This record gives sequence, C-alpha cells and structure tokens, in this order.
Amino acid sequence: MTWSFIGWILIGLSAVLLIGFSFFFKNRGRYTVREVPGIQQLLSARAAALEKGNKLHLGIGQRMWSGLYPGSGLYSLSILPKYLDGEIRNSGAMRVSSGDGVLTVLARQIIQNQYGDRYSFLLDQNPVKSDLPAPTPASSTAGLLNLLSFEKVSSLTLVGNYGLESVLFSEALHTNAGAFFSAVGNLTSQAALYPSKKDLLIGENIFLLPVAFSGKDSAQPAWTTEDILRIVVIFIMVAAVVLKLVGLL
Amino acid sequence: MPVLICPVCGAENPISGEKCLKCDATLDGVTPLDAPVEGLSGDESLGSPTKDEQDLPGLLQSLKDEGDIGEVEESLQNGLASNDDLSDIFAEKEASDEEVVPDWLERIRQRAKEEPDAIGDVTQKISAALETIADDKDENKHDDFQSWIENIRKPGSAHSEDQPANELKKENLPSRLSDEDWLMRIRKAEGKLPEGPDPTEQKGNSLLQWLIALEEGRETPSKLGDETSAADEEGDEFSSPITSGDYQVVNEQTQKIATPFKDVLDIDRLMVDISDEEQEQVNLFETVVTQENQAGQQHRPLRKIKHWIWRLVISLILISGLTASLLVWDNADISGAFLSPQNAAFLSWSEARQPGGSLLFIVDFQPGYFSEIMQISKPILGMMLEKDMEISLLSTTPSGELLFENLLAESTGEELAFTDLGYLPMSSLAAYGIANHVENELLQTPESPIVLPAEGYDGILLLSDQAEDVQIWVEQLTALMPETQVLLLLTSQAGPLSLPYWESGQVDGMISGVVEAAAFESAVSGQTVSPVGMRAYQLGSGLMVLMLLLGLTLKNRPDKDDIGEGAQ
Amino acid sequence: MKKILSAIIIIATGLLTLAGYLFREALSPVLALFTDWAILLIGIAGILGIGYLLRMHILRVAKKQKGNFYSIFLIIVFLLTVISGITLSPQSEYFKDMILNVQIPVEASLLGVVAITLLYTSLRVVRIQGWTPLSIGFLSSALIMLILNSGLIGFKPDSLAGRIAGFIQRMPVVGARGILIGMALGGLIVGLRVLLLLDRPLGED
Repeated sequence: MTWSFIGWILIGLSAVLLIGFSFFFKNRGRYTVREVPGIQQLLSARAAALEKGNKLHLGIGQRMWSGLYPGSGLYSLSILPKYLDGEIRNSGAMRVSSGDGVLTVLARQIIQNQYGDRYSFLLDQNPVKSDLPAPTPASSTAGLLNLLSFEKVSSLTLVGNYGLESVLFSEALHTNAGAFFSAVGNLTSQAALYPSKKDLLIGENIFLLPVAFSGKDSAQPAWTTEDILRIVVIFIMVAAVVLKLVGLL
Repeated sequence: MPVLICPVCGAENPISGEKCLKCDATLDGVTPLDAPVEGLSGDESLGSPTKDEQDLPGLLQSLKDEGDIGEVEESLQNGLASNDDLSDIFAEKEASDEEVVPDWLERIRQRAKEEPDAIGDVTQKISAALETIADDKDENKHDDFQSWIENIRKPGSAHSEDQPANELKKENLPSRLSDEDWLMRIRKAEGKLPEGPDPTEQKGNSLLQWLIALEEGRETPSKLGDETSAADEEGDEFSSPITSGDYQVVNEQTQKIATPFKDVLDIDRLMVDISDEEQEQVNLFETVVTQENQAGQQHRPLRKIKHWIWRLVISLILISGLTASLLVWDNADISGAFLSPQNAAFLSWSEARQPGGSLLFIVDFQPGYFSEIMQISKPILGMMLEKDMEISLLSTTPSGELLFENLLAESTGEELAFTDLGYLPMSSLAAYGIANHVENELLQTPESPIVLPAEGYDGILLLSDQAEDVQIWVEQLTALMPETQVLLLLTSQAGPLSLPYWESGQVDGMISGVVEAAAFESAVSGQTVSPVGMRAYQLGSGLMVLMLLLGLTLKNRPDKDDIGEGAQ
Repeated sequence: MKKILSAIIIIATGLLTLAGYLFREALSPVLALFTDWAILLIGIAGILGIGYLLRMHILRVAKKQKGNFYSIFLIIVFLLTVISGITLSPQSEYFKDMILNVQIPVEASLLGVVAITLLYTSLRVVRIQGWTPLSIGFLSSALIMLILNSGLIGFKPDSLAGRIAGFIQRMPVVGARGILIGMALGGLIVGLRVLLLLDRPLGED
C-alpha cells in the first residue's frame, strides 16, 4: 500500500461520507454549528454598512488556482452567491474584485445569475459590480487600494487567495475606520494579518463562511465530513509515526 | 368598608379580626384599609361610564319620576366616574339588601322578573359586577394586583380628596410595601428579586410611579440619546426604561419591565417561539445597534493622526536605516553562513552536469522579487552557461520572458539565446500540460510547434517567490515526470514551507534567500562573498525584532479600531 | 436540460482528470487536449477580465467619479503598452526597458510599503491578540526565525547547535503543515461538492 493509494482511499471516503451525510441531513436534524466570533463580527459590520448606505467590497482572490490552498478559488466563488443577499442586490452597494481575469468573469456570471433568478439584471440601475482592478497581483493591489479610498468602502471582506498585500488592505480600512474581515486561505496572508486583526479565520475555519452567510444548512454535510476526515488523518499520522518508530515503515 | 389586609397571605379580614381567617397570621399593627372592589378597579371592566351608559334607560327615568330613586340615580350620575365611589355604593347596596328593601327597589325587581330587558345596561353591569364580587370574594385572586393598583393611585390621584384609599400616606401603606412584604419575601426566596437596593424604597424610581407621573404630565419622556441614568448604573431594575442613550440599556430594561408583572400575569403565555435563525438575526441586530452607538463615541481624528505619526516615524527609521546600510555599511560578514545540505546537494548536481545538456527554467515570480531572485540564481546561471547548456523557458507570469532575459543579462553580462515555451496563465495546468507535452516531445504554439528534448530535460529549475507555487510544480512534476530532477531557487519567504519537499526527496536541491545564496556562491568561488544589500536585510530583520519586542511593552487593550470593529 | 448538460460535463471532466493520474498512458492524449482547452479558456477569460478593467476606468472617467485622473492615466498607459507591444514586439529593447523599468521598481516599492506596514503592525501583536498561547507561539517563532535567518548567527549543519537550530527552525513549518492539512481537507471537500453537484457556485441553487 502506497501513500498515494491511501490518498485515494481518503478521497473515496470523503465522497461517500459527503453523499451519505447529504441525505442524512436532508431528512433529519442539524449538525451543531461552531460559533466563530469573526463571522459574527463580519455579519454585523455588513449589516451596519448596509443600514448606513455605505459601500461594501468583497475581494475574491488574486488568482483562481492554487496548489497549496486547493479549491480556494472555487471556494471564494461559492461564497459569492451567498454573500449577495436580497438587500445587497437591491442596494447595489457592493463591488466584487479580484486580481485574476478568470475570477472576475466567473464572478460576473454569478452576479448576473443571482439577478437573473429574480428580475432582469438590465433593468437594475445600480447592480453589484464585478471588476478587475488590474491583471497581476501587485497591480491589482494598487488598483484595489485606490478603489477602497475613492469609494470610501466601509466593509472589506477578503476570501480566496491573497498574499502579504492583504495587510495593506487591512490598514487602508483601518484608516477609513472601516471593518476588515479576512477568510483568506493563504498562510502568508494569515501570518501578516495576525498582528493587527483579532478575528481572523485561520486554516479550515475559512470553509465555515458560506453557511454563516446563507443561513442554510447545506454545508453541514461538508463540515461533518471534514471533521471526520480530520480525525482519520490524525489517526493515520499517529499510526505512521508509531510504525516508523518500531521500524515497520 | 375598612378591612385588614393580611401581611402574610394578603387576604382581607374584618376590622375586628386579630388573626387572618385564611392563614392564622397575626394582624396586630396592621393598618385598616378600605376594602377594594375587585373587578371594578380597572377601566377596562367597569371604568367611567360612557355618555350612552350615563343616559339612564327609560324605565329608570320613569321610576325616578315616581320618586325614591333619586338618591341612587344621583349616586350613579355623580359617582360612576370613580370606581371607589362605586364600591361604596355596592357596599351600601349589599348592606341594604340584607336590611330593608325600599319600595322603589321592590318595584324594579318585580318588573325585572316580568320583563328581562326592563333594566338598563348600567344596572345589568352592576348586577354582573356584584355577582363577580360575590364569587371571587373568598378566593382573593387579585389581592396583590388590586393593592398594587391602589399604590399607583396614591400619589397625586385626582380623587384623593374623596377617597379614603387615596389618602394613604407612606406610613399608612399596607405592609406589603415594607420589608416584611409577603410578595417580596416570596420573590427573595425564589431568587427572583434583583440584587441591589429595594426598588420600593427609592423615591421616584418605581416604573409604575414613573408611568403615573408621565400620565399626569409631571414627567416627560427622556429623549433618546441622553446619558445613562444613575439608576441604571446602580442596577436599578425599576428605573425608567427610556433614560439612556444606549440602545442596549433600553433593551435590557425593556426585558426588565416584565418583572413586576411576572407574578400577576402568566408570563409563559407571552413567550414567543422563535427559530434559531430569528434568534441569530436578533443577536445581529443587537450587535449592530450596540456597535453603532459605540462607534459614535470614538475620537477618530485623533486616533487617525496618532496612527499616521507612528507610521511616519517607523517609515523614516526604516528608510534612513536601509539607505545608510546600502551606502555606507554594505560589507556584511556572512562567514557564519554555512552551506546547508540542500545547498550542498544543489552544488553537487550543478557540478555533475555534462556540457550540452538541456535545462528547463520556470519563471514563476513577480517582478517585485527580481533583485532577490537575481542574487539567488546568478551563480547557478553562471555555472550552467559555462557548460553551454541548452536552456528553455516557461513562464507563468506575463512578463516572465522579459524577466528571464534580464536575469541572463545580469548574470553573464551578455544576451544569450534560449527557447521560449511561452506564457501559461495557470501554474497548476501549466505543470500538468508541460508534463504531457514533454512526454509527447512536442509543444504546439501559435507560431510553430516546438520540439522538446526527446529524453526529457536534465533538470527543471523553478524560480519562485511563493511556497504554493512550489507545491504545485513539485507535486505535479514528481507525479507526472518522476525521472526528471527538480531543483528550487526560491525567495526567503518561500523557503521554509518548501523545505519538506527536499527532506522527502521530491526535489534534488534547493537554495532559498540571499543568505543561502551567498553561502552557495562562496562555496562555488572558494572565497567569502558578501551579497549586495545583505546588511540592509539584516538591519530590516533587526528592526522587526525590535518592533516585536517593543510591542510587548504596550498595553494589552485594543481599541475598537484595532480589532476591526470600527466599521460603522 | 441545460443544467443536466453542464452537470454531465463537470462530472465527466473531473473524473477523467482524476483517472488520468491512475491510467496515465491510456488517457494522456485526452488529458493533454483537456488541459490545452482549459488554458485557452483561461487565457480568453483573462482577456475579458482586462476588458472589464478598461470598461471600469472608462466609465469612471465618463462619470467623472473621484480619482478619474488616475483612470485617464491608466487608459493612456494601457494603450501605449498595447500599441508598442504590437508594433515593436516583446523582443524589442525599448519595449523590454519600458516594461521592466517601470514594473520592477513599482512592485518593489509596493513590497517596501508592505514591509513598513508589517513593521508597524508588529507593534500591535500583544495589544490586539493579548497573551494567548497562539500569540506567544506566533511571537516566539517570529523572533527565532528572524534571528536565525538573518545570517548573523551560523551553525555547522552537522554540529549539535546546528541540529538544535534546525529543529527550532522547523517548528513553525510543522505548525504551518498542520494548518495546510486542514486546508487541504477543506479544499478536497469543496472540490467534491462541486463534482457531486452539491454546490453550484455559478448560482443555480
């Protein structure tokens, strides 16, 4: 048995658990949602900004694909429709940006679908926008900093892939007395933000975000599966260490 | 009719009684009170009659004309506005029922028996009320509530001149309002009584008194936005609910208002069944409102200036320090930097290359890291070019080709030819794609197909500034091209997280950061090399250490802005 | 019908790519085709993204929004770059200098600003996070890594001090790996959710 084979077993197990729990939670009770202070902070900042008619901004990442943080691009796109609730759609007081053309195009499509599900996107005078401040990470950083300044954004949420530059966004919001929230999957960003922001989502906690927005429980099977997988992986690692110690591996 | 209210159970007892008829508690020292009329106290049940009700029916009018009824009618006309007057009337009426029945009343009763509708509405209501009193008298259901209503009326009542009950002074209040109050004791025993001073002892702090005063115009509702009252600070449960500018305080007091009614009303019936989602929305709203109020109290401009000054000072220190180190002290001693195993492996691999071999360079770094990458890759590029290796380039950044050209020019001092495999916008797919194309020995480009080395590359050298890019390339390439050697030239920030790939044997050599690069170059050249900007790098590291240590001395109490709550 | 078709395409592509790792020889041509298509589509999406970028700045200028001066500057420089790239070709020395002599210093300056900001924010670690195990771990590992990586102190790799230093240097990496394993599991679940159509990011839910 190779490590690769063990990996395939994990993938298979994940798929089976995911499907199983999806059926289970469809018919039965709820999986207890972990409380994350940062998410509550984000939701209240978002609500306050909307109430005051201020601008919101959602950064969905500097790039779509990342090996070290797999799925983070997809994850940020999956958050977008949940972030776009009715109030935001109607007010249009939000802008979505990324540093990757692919993300921008897909985000735009998602936004249009969200409007399309309810009423004509074209009829809306002030819809939520999806923009590409610039095509490379560094230029995108400069572009986004400008946007934050000119539009007086009062709530910035970063998800997906961002690097060291996220600390610049954080400080820009700090200067504007705005709320900054990060659910960035990138370790570099998390380390850079840790000294200046209290309620960061770190590690796999970032995957809790969609449920917090949607208020639905559709991600609960994923959480359950993830928790089980984590235990399985810990068990495998401990077992591997023990086997290595006794010379069987 | 005066009665004695039992201080223990609240039951009414005759004025002559020494012990409570209900609970046998002593009635010594209990002040007599006029018996309240239950069921008639509230305005809702039998309040002041309306104009229509005051119009006596024709039957009553005819009886009046016949005489004898004038007294009662006068009482009704003048006294129905007061419930206490009514109670007197009923008391008299009760007494008169037992004694002599006047003729006029006898006639009414007789006619009422014959004609059910002969009596008017008012009389019907009075009869119904009398029946109710008779039914409830023994049960004492509303003693507490009635006494409480009486207490409301005490100060400044409009009927105080006529009503004995309204003449009650503080010292004449029923004992329920004293420390021995039975209700208070029950509350204390059940733990429902709030801590702090007895609310009934605080003059003017009673919610009910406040409500009465408000109704009479002696007090006006405080404007939202006023400072929190002293009573709030003292935790006074019964203080005015709208005296604070803090919505949260209002909210708390709104909940507390229910407390006085708790023993009277069935509070369970007032509970609202809400879902978790609704509860979350309530919590969210509460947080938003609280923060909104808190945000308004902050002195932002001052803080903004403070932050700006800090930033300016730090920037000046850093810029002047780095400039000085670059211009004056740029002769760092790095003799302490030793060649680590991954560097040594890189060196061995480089020396083992045969002239004329083929190498694939992958440029996967942002232009901002150019100078660092140049210092790291310079000795390697020099060695490879000396051996006349065939070089190909694949880039995942738009300006990758230009950057690599510059790298070659800076390293060798001349422009060298290389095969450009093009720009691929997505590194994960790029790795996957190049592996497949290498296998097929052909790469289709818009201009013309590029023939790839038939036996693959002697090595793939990745120039990267991000550990995540390293992971993509290493994992994809080692899975898809296991025979090909992969070597890493990385910035110092990408190094630590990439080290496990060296330790697991997935890469054949690695250099990260200018310190390792200097050690490598020193090993290649046989003499200690001091890289450009090394002293500045050390100074920057030292400043960071200093700031972290300085931060330990600051107060451990973040502002709202610091923790990102100043959104609003 | 549209949803079913897109679902079939998603599942088929995903499973084929996964199977490519197991049956590489058999599926190599198909996978090469898939990756080429994907790269092409991504390239087109990138161009569309640049279109959106231009559109945003043109609208900003047209509506005379705040900061439209920068937008005018961007549009001019963009057009200049595109035209010179087409006419001169990327191999031109002039073009190369124009790009790199702007891009490298500008990006390096941005990194400098990041460095200053990090210096400033590092003052606030304890102030923001308080004395918690995580903040203590963060502080100590940051200090140790900064000192060890500065080049001021050197140890022979095979000496005892060198081994201890190496062990200490690996501690943050161990923590980071732990976080990354959690991230990888989360990523795996996200991918599977899309593949199994439990999640549709493009908004059919």
